[in-house]
Amino acid sequence: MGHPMSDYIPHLVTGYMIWIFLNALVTEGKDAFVSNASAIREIAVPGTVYVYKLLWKNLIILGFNAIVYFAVLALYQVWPFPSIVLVLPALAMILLNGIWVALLLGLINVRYRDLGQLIPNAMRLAFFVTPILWFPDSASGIRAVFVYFNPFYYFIELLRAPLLGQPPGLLIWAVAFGITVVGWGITLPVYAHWRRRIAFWV
Amino acid sequence: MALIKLENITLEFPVHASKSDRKRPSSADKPIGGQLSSGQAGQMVVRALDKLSLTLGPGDRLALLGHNGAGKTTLLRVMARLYPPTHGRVTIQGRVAPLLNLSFGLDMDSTGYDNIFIRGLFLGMSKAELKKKADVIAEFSELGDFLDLPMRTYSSGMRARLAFAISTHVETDILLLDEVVATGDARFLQKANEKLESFARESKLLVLASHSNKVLRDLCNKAVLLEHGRIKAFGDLEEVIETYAASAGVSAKDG
Repeated sequence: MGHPMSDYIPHLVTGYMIWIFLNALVTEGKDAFVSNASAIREIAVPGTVYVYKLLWKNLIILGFNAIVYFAVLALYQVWPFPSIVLVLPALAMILLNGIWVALLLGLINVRYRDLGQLIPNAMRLAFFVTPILWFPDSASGIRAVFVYFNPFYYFIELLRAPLLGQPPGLLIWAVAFGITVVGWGITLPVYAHWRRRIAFWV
Repeated sequence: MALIKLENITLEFPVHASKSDRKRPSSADKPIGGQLSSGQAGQMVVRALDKLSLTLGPGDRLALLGHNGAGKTTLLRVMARLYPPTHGRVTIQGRVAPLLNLSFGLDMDSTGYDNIFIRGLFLGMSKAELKKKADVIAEFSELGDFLDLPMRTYSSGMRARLAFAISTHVETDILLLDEVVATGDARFLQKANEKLESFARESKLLVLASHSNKVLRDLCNKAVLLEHGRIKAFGDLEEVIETYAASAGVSAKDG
């Protein structure tokens, strides 16, 4: 691998912490409406309220999980300044994506419940093909596809790099921004058209 | 200003992934449910409300009567703006507080006192508003020291008391109740009725669905009889109860 232990452990711990966060946004996002069925049948509030609720909950959980990250920083004497300030825009972009993911998957799952069962399995597979347990530069040849055509890679790297004191590359930011635009571009018309049916489907 | 205006409302539920193999044609004069038909894609469609028009103003206390599946709860949900109608227009002015599901917005592991805030926030009250009202709500529920215990230790009647106390203290113009006042003991029922009567006296709007004629007589001044999603009778409470009893073949005196 060509990476010393003092590089690998912070890489693994930080990457895994971010993965737990992203994984929760997707797997809980698909249940955004299903798990709030009783509220949807009782009070008239916009569907985004349920999404904000799950984002906030997972941000708090991320905060608790970050304790291990701080321990690793101290143990391996990683100095993340000044790049760590980029964590804020990175988190903002991840949350922005969390909203559309939950609206879109939540809407699909509320109508086609079977599809929701696939998502946790897909996420388990995504965990292994995303550079969390391994470094992105260790994937050579055809296997580089799993790095460069994997949306999770860009969102993990967006947050992991500044947490470890490196600024994420311009490509990372550009692709993450592109995914945000495309994701919202798909979600907005779909959600605007079908959101009134949610109360009938839950 | 409280106003509910329903103009020619039709509401159809698509029922997905349900293709019955039953060949028997359902009889037209079945006693329960809405109207079933086949939609464009071959799936079943339940017409829960059918060309229904209704106008309610301040001071109206409407009773909803009808057999099981006649469309009472669906109508309440249309009034709560939860179900957009398939056809027709809904005009609602004023704040709406639905009390359709008694267990909604209650966290079983939190104390009764915390739940005043949780459910109150869900129903649209602000934290400052709730702080002022929490004691009044607590007193109205008569739960006393039980308010410091987790909700899961409550009996269903106690839960109903608390839920009812919170909902009726929401600053609202329109209160929608579904079959809920019947829970609770006789004393609380009387107290609940007084609360609802004072609510109605402040010329606010109340819509109540119930199978208990006694509750309806105590609280309502108008009634609608629903049958398969259509209005069969509308007007004076006693007349509508009579019509309903006659069509159901039971006495209107009790129950």
